[in-house]
Amino acid sequence: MNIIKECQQQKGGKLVKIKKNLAMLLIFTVVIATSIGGCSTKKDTADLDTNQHLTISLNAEPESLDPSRAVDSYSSIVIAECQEALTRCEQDETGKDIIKAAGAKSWEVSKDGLAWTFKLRDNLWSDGKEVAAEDYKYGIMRTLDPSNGGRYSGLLNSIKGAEEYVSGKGKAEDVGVKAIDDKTLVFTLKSPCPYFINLTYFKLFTPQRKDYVEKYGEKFGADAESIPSSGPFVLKSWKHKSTIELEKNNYYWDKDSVKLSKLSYKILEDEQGRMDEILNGTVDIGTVEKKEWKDKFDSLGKFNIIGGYEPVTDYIFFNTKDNLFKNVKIRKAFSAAINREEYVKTLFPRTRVAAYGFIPPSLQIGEDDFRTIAGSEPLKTLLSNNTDVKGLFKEGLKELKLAQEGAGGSGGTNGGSSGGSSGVSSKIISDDPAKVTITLTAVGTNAKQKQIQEYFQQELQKNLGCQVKIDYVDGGAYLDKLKRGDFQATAMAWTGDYNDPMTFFEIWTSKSMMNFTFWTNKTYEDNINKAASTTDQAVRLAAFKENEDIIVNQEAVCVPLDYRQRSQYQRNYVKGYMSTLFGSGFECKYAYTSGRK
Amino acid sequence: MVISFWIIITITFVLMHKIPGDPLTSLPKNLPDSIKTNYYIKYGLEKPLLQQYGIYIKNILCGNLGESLIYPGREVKDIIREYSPASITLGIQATVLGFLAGTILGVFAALKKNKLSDRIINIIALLGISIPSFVVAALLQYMFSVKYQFFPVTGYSGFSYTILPTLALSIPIFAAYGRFVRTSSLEVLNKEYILTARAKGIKDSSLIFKHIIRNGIIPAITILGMQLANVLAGSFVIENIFAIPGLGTHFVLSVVNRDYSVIMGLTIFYSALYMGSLLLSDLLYVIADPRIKINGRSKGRPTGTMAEEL
Repeated sequence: MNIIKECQQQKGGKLVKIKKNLAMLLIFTVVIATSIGGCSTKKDTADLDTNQHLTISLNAEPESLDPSRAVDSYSSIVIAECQEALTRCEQDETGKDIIKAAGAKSWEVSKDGLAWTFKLRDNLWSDGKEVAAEDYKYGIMRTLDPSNGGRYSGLLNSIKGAEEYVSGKGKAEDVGVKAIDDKTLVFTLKSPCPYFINLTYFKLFTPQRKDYVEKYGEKFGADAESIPSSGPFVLKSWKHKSTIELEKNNYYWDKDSVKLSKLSYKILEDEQGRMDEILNGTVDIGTVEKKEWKDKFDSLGKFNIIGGYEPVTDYIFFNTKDNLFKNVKIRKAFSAAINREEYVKTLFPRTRVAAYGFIPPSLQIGEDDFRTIAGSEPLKTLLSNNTDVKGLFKEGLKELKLAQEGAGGSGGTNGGSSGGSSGVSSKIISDDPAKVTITLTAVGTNAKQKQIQEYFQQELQKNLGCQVKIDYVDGGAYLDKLKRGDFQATAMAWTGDYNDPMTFFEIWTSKSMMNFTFWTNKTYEDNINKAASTTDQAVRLAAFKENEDIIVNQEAVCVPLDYRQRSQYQRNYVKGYMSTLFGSGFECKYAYTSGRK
Repeated sequence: MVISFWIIITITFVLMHKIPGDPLTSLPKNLPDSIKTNYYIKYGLEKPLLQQYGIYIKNILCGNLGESLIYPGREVKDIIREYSPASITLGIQATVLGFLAGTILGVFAALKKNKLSDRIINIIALLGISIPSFVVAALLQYMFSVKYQFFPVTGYSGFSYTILPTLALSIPIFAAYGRFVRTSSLEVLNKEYILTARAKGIKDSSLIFKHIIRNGIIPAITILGMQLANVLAGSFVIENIFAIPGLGTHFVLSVVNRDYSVIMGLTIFYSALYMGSLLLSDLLYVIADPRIKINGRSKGRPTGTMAEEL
């Protein structure tokens, strides 16, 4: 039934939209934000419309507006406008993400890089009470509190004692966050974390009110009245699954920069409704994904398009315990068999770009774009070294067959157990590609997913000469299946959490919860440790570059497919709106309209 | 009643826990085990299934449907209270509209059998049944909200917001009833008593109202009960397209998200709705067909069992 299809489509969408979270620039020593308000204050505001309001479409209902318990990206968007985190993620004139002082007016780092001291600004809650350092600390501690589930606590792991506390092994007192006085907050880290400042504008670093949490208990964050505001806007009403309305917060420290008197979010889960709302003008800003809609909107000439890359890479990975994919030549042949340019042209015109590395363009290391300064792209090396794809595949099969014959008889059971419990292809390997079957595992069964998988199926059958089957799995059961090792190869999308390559590379380590490949590599782990413990960006860059080459080229466990591009359409009259890469992604603090009819 | 509820609850509970995955596996991220354990303990999911079942039954008896596992702080009964009015309003509007329009056109088509207007009505009904409602909804939305801005595109805050969704929902209902009533009216028209009535020189209007409609819609009432429960439950597709905060989307997404308490709560709510609408259609029989009433009374049967008799 189409009901099922529809909802799986949603699920598929959710998987990749995961969390558009944190981060940016590396500011290492003392930063004092002087130019508050940034570029927007310079703009001529004389022609402002009298009625300042803005409506944005959200693709799904936020789970909750409780910063400690919501784990979706939609809640981050709304929370960013209602709460003042230590910093805010904004854009400079060129559209690059920058970190602005917000809840904190300045911060400094100790020489060893372990102690971060934040001096807080004088700011008031929307009920007139002062925002204190204790409120920030309370927020952090609530996120880590095991009784709250701590589903998003992973991002706080760099704080000393945090991991222990959330897993019940440590005590609350040992967590490295202290409110020295009303206006001073100190974090003690486990080890130097070069991107710690990139975490501070995420919702976990917003203040929370203990009295409200205690008053509303479980219902804190579920309704508008339970949430006092510390940011540019106050939550006025929340009609679940329909609309969220915010109003300007007159207690906000920087209220002069806020020009909108009303900011609304319409929750529009269906694409048709969303497009019609944008077309009709009742929604001012929305994301447009499909080419046909883009063409339509472009022809109207009433929109500004916000493009650029999303911090998202689509890729395929293998189960390296699998009898077939334990062989590196097979993995390389698989990777080389897909023509990325054809792939994006056929399936994602105007929305995605072929990927030849794992780190998407626009992700920064220090203040530089990683892709630009890394230079080489590892997949290109792999492609140029392996032009005879079919031959490579056959070679791989031959090696496997030899190994199997060598291990035969005496080592039969041995080989079986070391080959893993998965046994997806436990049959005897044939060196004839036509007798080999590869199974691709896919989430959901919506039309797009089918197109994508069938595309891979065709390409692989054509270029490798083998048989390809597709196994469609329901979203709820997918991760379970991966964890059990019950798959051969599957495609996934990874969205960076913060603006540092580490957010992409850490998923391939043996500790990572997202590494389903059973693949580990000592050089790789060493490089990660090196990059995590130094603040020297040159050393980190070298380590990351080598790691990208390992996963994409040398070991070929990761098959990059494409980088996603964003396309938010905003009406011409919307000004001062910032579509940041990280942070909320929909920053409206400085937004206003001029010339709305 | 109580036994049917108990059976429904038990079957749903078992099935729900038998499908792979839980509220955490539907998250896109894989979490460390210690955090998973925290979460399971918080919602009592670490206990043996039988114990969870016992706790759930006990809670239901105390009128407690539990809290959503995906949306923290939202109780299931609040979700039902908050979202059901929209679904129910739309459902009733669509059913009434579909039923009335279907009856009128059905009778009309029967009277004009094999004439041009009959054929046209037939084609409309066929289209109504075969065109999926989301296509109709998308067309209506584009035509009447974007091209000609008569109605709001999406949302739900007043009568004008319900017009397009009601239309979209009622079209398949109207088409089904139209066909149904036409067939049964034709049957009635061939009856001898119609001939008698005509011979007696009865007026056309009273022939239609007293004889044809009254007899023609009886079979249609049979499906009304089921249809009503179906529509009241909310339509995932229509609610999604018009961004209506209704229960339909909640029900489907709760299964996808493995939001156990919401699945259970809504199943119970729907069962109650379904039983209620079956009862209602039985009562409507009595109004439409007095024979049933007399028959039922004389045998001393409660009205609730009449559906079986038919």
